[in-house]
Amino acid sequence: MHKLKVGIYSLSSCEGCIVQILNLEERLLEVLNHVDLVECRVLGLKHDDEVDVAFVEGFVSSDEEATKIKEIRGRSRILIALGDCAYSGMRFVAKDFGTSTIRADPINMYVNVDYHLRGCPIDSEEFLSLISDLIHGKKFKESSKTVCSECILLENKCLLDKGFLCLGPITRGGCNAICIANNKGCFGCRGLGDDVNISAFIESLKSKGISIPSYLLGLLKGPGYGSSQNS
Amino acid sequence: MIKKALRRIYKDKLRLLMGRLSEEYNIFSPKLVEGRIIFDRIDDVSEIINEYHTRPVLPVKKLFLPQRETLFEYEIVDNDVIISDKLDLVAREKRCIFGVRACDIASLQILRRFFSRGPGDPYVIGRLSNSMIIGIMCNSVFPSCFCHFTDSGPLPKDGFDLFLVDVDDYFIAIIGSERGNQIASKNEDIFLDANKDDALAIDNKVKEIVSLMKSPPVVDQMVLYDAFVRSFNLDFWEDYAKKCLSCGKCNFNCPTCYCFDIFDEVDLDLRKGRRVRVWDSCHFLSFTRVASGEIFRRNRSSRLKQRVYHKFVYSVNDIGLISCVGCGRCFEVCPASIDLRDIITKVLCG
Ligand code: SF4
Ligand code: SF4
Ligand code: SF4
Ligand code: SF4
Ligand code: SF4
Repeated sequence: MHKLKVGIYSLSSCEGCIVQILNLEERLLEVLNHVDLVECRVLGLKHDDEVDVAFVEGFVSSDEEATKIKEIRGRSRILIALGDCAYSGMRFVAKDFGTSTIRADPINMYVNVDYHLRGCPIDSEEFLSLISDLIHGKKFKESSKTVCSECILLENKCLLDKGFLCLGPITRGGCNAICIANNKGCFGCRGLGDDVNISAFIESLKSKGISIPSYLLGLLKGPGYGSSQNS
Repeated sequence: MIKKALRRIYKDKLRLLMGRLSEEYNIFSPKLVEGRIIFDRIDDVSEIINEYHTRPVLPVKKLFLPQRETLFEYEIVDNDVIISDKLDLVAREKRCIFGVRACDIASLQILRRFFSRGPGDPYVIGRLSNSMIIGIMCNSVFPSCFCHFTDSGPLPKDGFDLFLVDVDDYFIAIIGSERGNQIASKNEDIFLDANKDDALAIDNKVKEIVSLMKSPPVVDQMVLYDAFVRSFNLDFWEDYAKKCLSCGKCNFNCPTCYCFDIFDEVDLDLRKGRRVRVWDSCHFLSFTRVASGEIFRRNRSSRLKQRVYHKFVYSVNDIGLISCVGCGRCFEVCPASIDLRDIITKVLCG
């Protein structure tokens, strides 16, 4: 079987998503039996040639990075945005919908993105299922569940009912509600779910006496990165 | 008045009974885990709780249709494909499920009908046949209970081996099956004769529980069916849809929602894999997405209606029963507080 040539590239980011991949340890070694990792700055690998799959973490913060992402797209067959930085320009983590003055552009403002791995950082299990689909030539399917529905599978007591803010009802699942399992409200790092109802969510918070964070009102007008990423 | 055979079990003998049963059966029961009551496997009968003032979060369904289940595994060995079907494990296990409430017992009867259609689902049906059910009547009602309206509780009609009614320091045990009868005769030191007033005591207890319940006025189920059929195009569905967050929680913790997704997980070297089934929810946009990308229920109201109409109309067409057992879990967990009893009342007035 032809081994996929894979590159991992960083724009402006904390490199936390790459750390999630490296944390896979033995299971990453198993992956490396099936792909050729040709470029990864953290591991000192440099390639500058065509790849089958490019993973890109980080957002675009300068013209140089805008040129770089176009150049990477030009020589990769499949391009994957890693983490909330690449997906939304870190808006879901920073809760900054349309007010920011610093440049933090999601990469799909410049290039077509084939798949997104969401979250801050990405979920390493989800990375494994994506890479396995690519190796087998399958289409990767993002989770279409909400964090809420994953939360009830864990039989958690709902934080909203205890009076705490939790963005689970509007957030795309795939993380198995890991924050709630650790007693913290979901802060929405995976972005919006398939068909979220933000105004109903605001009403629901009101009725439970939970104060409405102002970014939710901003989010009502859309996440502010100008493309239809939630269809 | 109840027609089934009755016995008495003094409460201090319950653990003795469960201990004996645990020699033959794997015991499952509501269990206290970090402040929540959940159904789980019990290793020691001291973990069994018979009094708790809430329902387990996820219904007993999860023990019959697990939220994630490997159906079979396969492996390529010397150009041969070896399949190991997990059905063998299902068939081998003997389980006793203790502490099931009437609404959950009724839901198992509904799941049995759903999963017996067509070729049948041997995994779910297998578990239903090899599980002994020891139910227990609710001592109090929860704000969302309305099982009286759906005719599924607080006393189940059938679908159990034993059903315990809590009276002072003893339980009245209702014998619901031949298997239950055998357990009673094998343990005569525990199953004492019932008193002649015990049937009346059950009656009184049922009346008391029903009087506490916030249930819509009971109507004939065909009247309900017709009312739903007539209401399909009324405007109020849009009002509910405006409130709904499409989060899917109501499906996942409904004792009769049985929809699932199936996929294959293949190891990287392509030599091994498994077929997995997980729960799915008709509130998700992806639920009706077909291979070409079309989505048949794009409107939120059409998805909300799918859930409600499945319970009260499609299910009647399909298995001859409504598939709501009045447990109230769907609105107890609903972040938008969409109360099914309000919907029913609107439909009946409509
Ligand atoms: S705690 Fe959060 S994720 Fe869990 S059910 Fe409540 S709102 Fe949803
Ligand atoms: S629970 Fe929410 S904040 Fe936590 S990882 Fe999942 S999406 Fe991100
Ligand atoms: S529809 Fe709601 S009330 Fe009826 S059985 Fe399901 S969860 Fe219970
Ligand atoms: S269609 Fe919806 S309401 Fe009906 S069983 Fe499936 S998930 Fe439940
Ligand atoms: S739980 Fe409530 S908000 Fe969530 S999908 Fe069901 S009806 Fe809608």
